[in-house]
Order: sequence, then structure tokens, then C-alpha cells
Amino acid sequence: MENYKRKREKQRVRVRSKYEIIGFISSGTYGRVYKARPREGPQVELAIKKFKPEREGEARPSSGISQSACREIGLCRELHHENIVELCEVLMDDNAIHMVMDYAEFDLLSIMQHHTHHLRKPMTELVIKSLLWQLLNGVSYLHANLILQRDLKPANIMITSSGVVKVGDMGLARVFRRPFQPLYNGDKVVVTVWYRAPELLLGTRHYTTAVDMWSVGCIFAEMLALRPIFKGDEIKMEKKQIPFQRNQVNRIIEVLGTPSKEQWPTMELMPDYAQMKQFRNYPNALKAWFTNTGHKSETGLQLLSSLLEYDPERRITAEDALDHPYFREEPRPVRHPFLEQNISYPRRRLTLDDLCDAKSQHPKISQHSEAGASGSSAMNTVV
Amino acid sequence: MSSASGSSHQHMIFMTRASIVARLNEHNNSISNSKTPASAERNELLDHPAMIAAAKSCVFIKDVSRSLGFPARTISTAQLLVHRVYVLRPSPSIGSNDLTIACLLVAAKMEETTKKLRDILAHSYLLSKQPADSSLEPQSVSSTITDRMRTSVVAAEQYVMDAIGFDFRTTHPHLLFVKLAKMANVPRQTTAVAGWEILGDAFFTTLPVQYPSSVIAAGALCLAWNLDCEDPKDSTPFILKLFS
Repeated sequence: MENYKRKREKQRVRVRSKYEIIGFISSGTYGRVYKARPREGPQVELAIKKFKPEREGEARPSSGISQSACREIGLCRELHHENIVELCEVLMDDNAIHMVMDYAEFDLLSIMQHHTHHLRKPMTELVIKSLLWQLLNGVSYLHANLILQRDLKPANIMITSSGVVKVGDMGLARVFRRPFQPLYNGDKVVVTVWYRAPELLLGTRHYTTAVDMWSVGCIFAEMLALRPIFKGDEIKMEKKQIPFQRNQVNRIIEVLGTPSKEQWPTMELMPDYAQMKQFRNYPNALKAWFTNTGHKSETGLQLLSSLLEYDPERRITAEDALDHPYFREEPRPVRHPFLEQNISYPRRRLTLDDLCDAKSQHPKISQHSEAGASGSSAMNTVV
Repeated sequence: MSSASGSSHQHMIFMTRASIVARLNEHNNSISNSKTPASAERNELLDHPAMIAAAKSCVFIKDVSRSLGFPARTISTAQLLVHRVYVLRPSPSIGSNDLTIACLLVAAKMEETTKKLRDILAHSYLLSKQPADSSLEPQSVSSTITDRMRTSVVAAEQYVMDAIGFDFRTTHPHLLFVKLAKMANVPRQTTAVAGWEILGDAFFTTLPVQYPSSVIAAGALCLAWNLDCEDPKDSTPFILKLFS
């Protein structure tokens, strides 16, 4: 038995001996993300997601591997698509789970922030169109495989240095076929509030792939305007009561107008429908909003309004959106927009922490505590 | 097998019966030097201490799941995990009770039928007590007991995940079985019910480690079909139709 244990310990793969950890990227509630490269074999760049190790004596009793890690690993192992982040390996080391994944140089949030703060000019139509098409392509693959992403937002959309979109963070994703209980019972709150679909805001118990399409619409709008289209203030949960996101709903109807019964026949059935009476009536102002962004494509506006359709039944599906006339119009979307347009953005800023293989020329910048990530504020994915 | 998700492991791997026996025997030889000839006789698999332990775990999983109200697919997935762990690590370095509860815990997460770990621990505690004391309610199990179990079960969970190579992909033979039964239009009350039971029982064995769920589901249905002594049917045409 002792021999066997020793043999097993010898076979154990250590993260640090297999990969060189180059720097720390960001941290979140789940743990931290590092950039790394394999010590042997082809020199590729990888991201390692290290989940928080289980510690004894923590305030909250632990219940083992988090559901989100379990989902992410289980789903990512099955998914192989150009526009979805690829999982290479899962390792257990240092009492923590490490997911080794494809590395992407940028995320959509960092690119949009670069445009707002440094370039001070909008993204070109070709880049927007290419990124949107690839995003839809990835989402349509997920939906065709009966998977809901449930947390689409710019920070979760990775982009390689040539401009290939990789949908990441499948931590909230799940298979939606034949749920044993209404999806609502599993996770009470899904999708970051700015990207949350109206049916979710009204407390629906059953939802579909349309919630992801709403998020895609919000992301499309954000690429056009370089700011979130519905930037509501989130009302924090108190005493485990799920609050009605009044401000977020208000932001939506300010732009899209008050939904009518014709627009959304099943709205009256929503649990929080009664809350809708408190808002005053707004007309639909999406066209004015669109014109304000300086973009002119008529089909672009059409696609945006089909994505931001109130009624989830009528909202465009990912598959149909890929065929939208917007993508058949010039400029046509391309596969590697940054490469073809010769666009370059500043690379991800890395910092070092105690796990990194620090080299002497790199001064230690900061020790990241739970407060986290001063050096990575630009790409901070903490919600 | 510390990490089993490299590119070569993208597909579900099924082992032959002989390779399972060989694996168990090889392990036996490496820990005690008693030479047992490697052959694939039936009793050699079932009588192996690892398989006896696995079978016991499976019974316990069924009891706890019944008490907690887990659906059939969670039970089966937990039992599949137990067998995978025992085949890959024939003498696990953790307690069999912890291992069993950990498999159920992982299965509940895989199948999206999560329950509070405290509840799982409380129900397991009551059912593992000998003799079983039915006067106690799961809610009244003190948290000192569950917290003591929690540490070792969470550690066991890591052991289980490591052993199965983080393979959280699920297969649902139950769904497939219902579809096949409808397709073959078998009598609901007799053949379909019997097949369902056979399907559940299959997970007490190593069969799900050996064959994909489609084969297990079709096998359960065909066996149930042939059990009907009044009107035995030849299942060959049905199977041929399935795989054509």
C-alpha cells in the first residue's frame, strides 16, 4: 500500500513543473487567472484558471467543488468550436483545481475601454460586424448543443490578437433540455444586470436561449456606442429576497419604449408584471439612440431591434441572426479583423504574484490580496 | 491518471471486462505478492474486494438517494462514478463511506440536482448507523456530526474528481430507454417497467464502465423483452433496425 501511494505521488503532475507561469491576469470570486506557457512542446500561450483552494476553518462551510466549476469543466470538455474557449487540461495541485485553457490576448471590455480612453474614436463598422458575427457564431453553436451561456457580457468575450472571438466563462452555462426543475430554482439570479433580458427582470420562472440573444443585443449596442446601452444601478439583494431591478427596467423602457400588449402578449403572465405600472409611458427611441452613435447602417438598426425584442418568443435566434442582411452588406465580416485591418491594441498587462515564476528583471509589483487586482483594473472581470 | 483530459481523452473511454480484471489483478499483485493467475472468469470480477466494496457503495447510494429524493439519473451517475473510482484506484486511500458520499455529491452537481451538503451528510449518517435508528429525523442530526463528516467528504470529493479525471460529462441512458421503449411500442406496465428496473440494476455492476449508455439502454429493453415468458420475442430485428 505504501509503495502504491509513493508510486502514485511520483506520477502526479504538478502545475508548476509542467507550465511556466508568466503572470497574473485577473481575479474573481472563483479564484485567479494566470497566463502561462508549457515548459515542453510547442510554445503556445495558455491561461490557467486556479479555483480557490478548499481551506479548513473558513467562515462559510465549504460544500466541495463549486457547481460552476463542475459545469464549466463538464461543458468545456465537450465543446469544440472556433469561437468558444478551448479547455486543454484539468489538474489538481496545491489542493486546488486548475483549468488550463486557450489564452486570448484581449477581451471585448478592454478593447472598448481602449477606444473610449485612449483612441477616443469609435470602433469601425468592419470590426464591429466581424466581432458580432463571430460572437453569434459561437452562441449559435452553444444553442444548437442545447446550452445556455447565461452570462454574456464584454468581459467574458475573449478576443485573440488577430481578432478571433472566443466566448469564455462557462461558469453559469448549463444544458437546458428537459430541466428537472424550472431553471429559476437552480440559480435565482443569472446574467449581469446590464445585460439581463426583460423576462428575467420580470422574474420569469422559465426562460430560453432568448436571454442570451438579449445580451448579444446589448453587447452589439455597446460596441456601437462604446458605453452600455442600459446602464442601470443594480439593487443589491437583501435578506435573500430577490429585488425588482427598478432602475434597470427604467433604463430599458427609456430607450425601447413601454412594451405594449401587442409587442409582448405574455408579459401580463410575468410574476413581477404588477411592478410595470409604476413607470410612465415612453415612446420607442431606439432609432434616435442609433443615429446618435453615428452609425448609419439601416440593416444594423434592424438587427439591433430584432435582438432587443421584448417578447422572447419573437426575439431573433442566433442562427437567424447569422443570416441577417446586415452581414451580407459591405463591409462584409472577416475572420481575423485585427490582422486584416492591421489594428493592434496594447497587450494584456500582467502582474506578478507569489505563484509566478518571477524573473529578476521584473520587479514585484504588488501582492494581490482578496481586494485584488489593482494592476489589472482594465480587465478586471470581477462582478 | 492524475489528469485525464488531454487531447487523447476527449472521448468517453470504455474498458473491456478483461482489461478491468487485469487492472484489478495487477494492482493486487503490486500490493501483496500473492500470485493469482489473471483470467477473466466471471467470479473473478465480482468477487474482487474492490468490486464487493463498490457494490456495497451502490446499495448505500440507492438508500440515501431514496431518502433524499434524488431522481434515477443522479443515482445511476453516482453508481457509475463509484465503479470508475474502484476500477481506476482499486484500493482507495480514503474511507469507503466518504468515497460513497463524495460520489453522490459529485453526481448531484453533474446532474444539476444539487442539495445542501448538510442534508446529504445527515441522511447518510442516519442510514449508515447500525442498527438503523428510524426515530431520528435528518433535520435533528447535530451539526457537530455533519461538520465532522464534511471535512473528510470534501477531501474525498477531490480524490474522486482526480480519479475520474474531471470527467463531468453525463450520459442519460434513462431518457434513451424511454425513447427506445416507445419506439418498440412495448407494453408499458410489464416490459417497460421491467426494463427500467433492469436498467437501474445495471448500474450496480461494471457494465456502464464497459459500454456506452445506448448499449446499456438497448440491452435492458431486450432483456426485459425476453423475460416475458408467455410471449418471448426475438429482439434481433429491433437491434438491427437501431444500428442500421
